Amino acid sequence: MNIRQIFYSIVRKWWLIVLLMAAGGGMGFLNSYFTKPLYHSDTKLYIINHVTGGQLFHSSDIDLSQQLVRQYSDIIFSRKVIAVVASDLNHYHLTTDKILSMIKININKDSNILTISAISTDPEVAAAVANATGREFINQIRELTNTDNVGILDYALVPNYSDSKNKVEKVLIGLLLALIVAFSIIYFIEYFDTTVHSVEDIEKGLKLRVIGIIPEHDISY
Amino acid sequence: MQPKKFNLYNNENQVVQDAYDILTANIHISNEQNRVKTLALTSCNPAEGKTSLAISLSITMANSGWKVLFVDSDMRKPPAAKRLNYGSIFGFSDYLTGDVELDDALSESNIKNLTYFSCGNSHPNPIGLLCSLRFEELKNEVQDKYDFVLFDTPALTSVIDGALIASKVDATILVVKMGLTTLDTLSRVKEQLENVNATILGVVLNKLKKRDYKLYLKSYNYFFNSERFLKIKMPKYQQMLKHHYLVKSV
Repeated sequence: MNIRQIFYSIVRKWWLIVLLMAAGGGMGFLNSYFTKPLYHSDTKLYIINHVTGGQLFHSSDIDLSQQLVRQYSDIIFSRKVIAVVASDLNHYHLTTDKILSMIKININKDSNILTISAISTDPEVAAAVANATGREFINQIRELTNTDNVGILDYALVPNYSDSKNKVEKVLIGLLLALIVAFSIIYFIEYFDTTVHSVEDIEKGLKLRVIGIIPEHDISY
Repeated sequence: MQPKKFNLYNNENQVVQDAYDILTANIHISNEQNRVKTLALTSCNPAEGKTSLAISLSITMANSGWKVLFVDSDMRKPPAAKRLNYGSIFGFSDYLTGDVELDDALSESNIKNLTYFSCGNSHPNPIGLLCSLRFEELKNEVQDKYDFVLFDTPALTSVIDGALIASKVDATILVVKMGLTTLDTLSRVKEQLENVNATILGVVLNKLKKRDYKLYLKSYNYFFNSERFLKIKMPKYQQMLKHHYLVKSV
């Protein structure tokens, strides 16, 4: 199969490309039209293993802090924390499952910073959930360990911009995917099509002479 | 002889007619010293356009001045399904069984130089008929009377009739439909024909779409518009005069 043949079959199947591109672009547009934009808000927490008596930090202290980050992070997802968050934010009518699906934690490797992200279609809710979760997490840690190891570094702010992709981008992605799908469909059709397509097929492949070429009987001038 | 009228297949399309002319010329060119008298038309798959091609080709050949006999040797299809058979009582199978003599089995057609041999009444054993001595007799008898004898045969991938006829005639033409016949089938059919010692005169590509046809005959419509040639030579006032004259004469 040579490039010329593929090119001709692409030209021949132009309707398939147009059809699929219309479908892909349309789906991209509908997707961006009907999905609500998502907002995403972060609270940053620090965890430090407090050193007593004004001694200098040791690298072992920092190691310990990093371990604490990993250990504590699961506490955020405990029902105890989430239930309090839900009752704190009862004016938003959020269930605990909903809150669990909204929040994500991000541990920066080799540092003792913990980021709690909340994602919501409402920017205010995202910020409120992130802040409430962070606050409640600190309360919980204090209650459990009787230490002051955890504190809030940055409060979550109400985001101004959604982080979902914009319409043009989605439509373009739809078009691009459709184009790829169309080209691969055409390629596969060509690949599995072993029918005679030209005089050269017969003369080269079978060493037979072509003595006549008859067009369709309703050929136009 | 029985009378026979062709209402169909007479191409009015100039492009198609030209294509058949080219095919006829090619057959004539490749036929050195008129050694090829009997031709079998066959194809790999059914419905690739054998019969219409065979009839159009025989009409074109007849119009070129050769005496042509068209033999419908497809005895598999029920006779009622054949539009062309309408009106003829006896045919190929009746001749081969020995029921009638050749002159009674042939049909005279409304096209000059073209004689039609219908497939005849259905017979349970077409292979037996094709293997009989009577077929050889027919070949010898028509070879002197006609310039070309065209056998229209059933498809090779369905029954053996085509290969049988191909092995007995001088040359075979394979009809290939663009975009339907696969190269695999074609090479198998070629092998089959070579095994029975058939001579393949060549392949005819059938039913090309316009855009494919243009790849091979780019200026097929160059001569259709005769104005093209007149306009170049004729000055404008002469054209006007000519137009005026034409209008007047009409």
